[in-house]
Amino acid sequence: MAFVTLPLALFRKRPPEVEELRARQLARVRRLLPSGHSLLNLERMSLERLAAVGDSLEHRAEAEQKGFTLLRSWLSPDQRRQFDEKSYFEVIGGDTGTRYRIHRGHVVNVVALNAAGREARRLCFGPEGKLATGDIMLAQKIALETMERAALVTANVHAPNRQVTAGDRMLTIFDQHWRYVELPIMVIAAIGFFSSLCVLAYGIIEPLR
Amino acid sequence: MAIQVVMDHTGDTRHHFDANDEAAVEEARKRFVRLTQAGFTAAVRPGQGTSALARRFDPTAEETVFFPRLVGG
Repeated sequence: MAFVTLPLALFRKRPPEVEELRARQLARVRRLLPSGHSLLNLERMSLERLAAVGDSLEHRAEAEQKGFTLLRSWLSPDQRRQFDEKSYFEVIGGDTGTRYRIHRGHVVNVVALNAAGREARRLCFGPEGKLATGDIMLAQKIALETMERAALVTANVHAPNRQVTAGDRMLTIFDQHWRYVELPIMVIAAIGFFSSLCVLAYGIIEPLR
Repeated sequence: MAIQVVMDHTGDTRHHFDANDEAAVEEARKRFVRLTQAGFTAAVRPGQGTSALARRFDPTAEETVFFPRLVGG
């Protein structure tokens, strides 16, 4: 008997109340889903599953909202304006004075700028765990302002448009510590230059004697 | 009212306490120690748009934010 009732149950029309609830849940989930997300599977979901997905997305949206509210309360008026207009804000590294741009997002969203204000490298770091985007951005801001070196050591470094290698990491470290070795190198170079001049002068004058 | 804001998957959890209430301050101090020992970083806001690390519990701090340890992405 089951081989007759089972296919019939599959084609049985749902009561209109259930259909209405389902349509409402479907609309709610579609509203909460990030744009571009495939909706194919939603059509096949049960009412209970749709409700669960809707609840989960609603909680996520609330968390995101709270995260951005907290972030905005910690930004200066200029940073807030910049964030509203450009979806990023800039902070100054507490140790090196480097300017960083923190973009809205949570993956490879921190950009270190060079003296000309151009993108020098991209950094990927953030607080552990599944946090709201605003919270991640706030943690990145605090970290760069108050413990920049620790953040840089933790961060994965990416050059624009490519994955950064160990060589790039070395360059990053060199860049950070250049000011400490700059003067000794210049002194050694100057001594070398004047020594060469003396040797050259000696080489010219000595044969003339 | 002072506040401790702990970042988590819900956005954040907020713990308000009265800086004049000894028991509440003690509870806040314990929370501070518990969280920082668990790897959270505590930060306060000395001025608009600026931040500073809070290495010790400060009952006079108006707002302290805690975020989990940093990891490379």
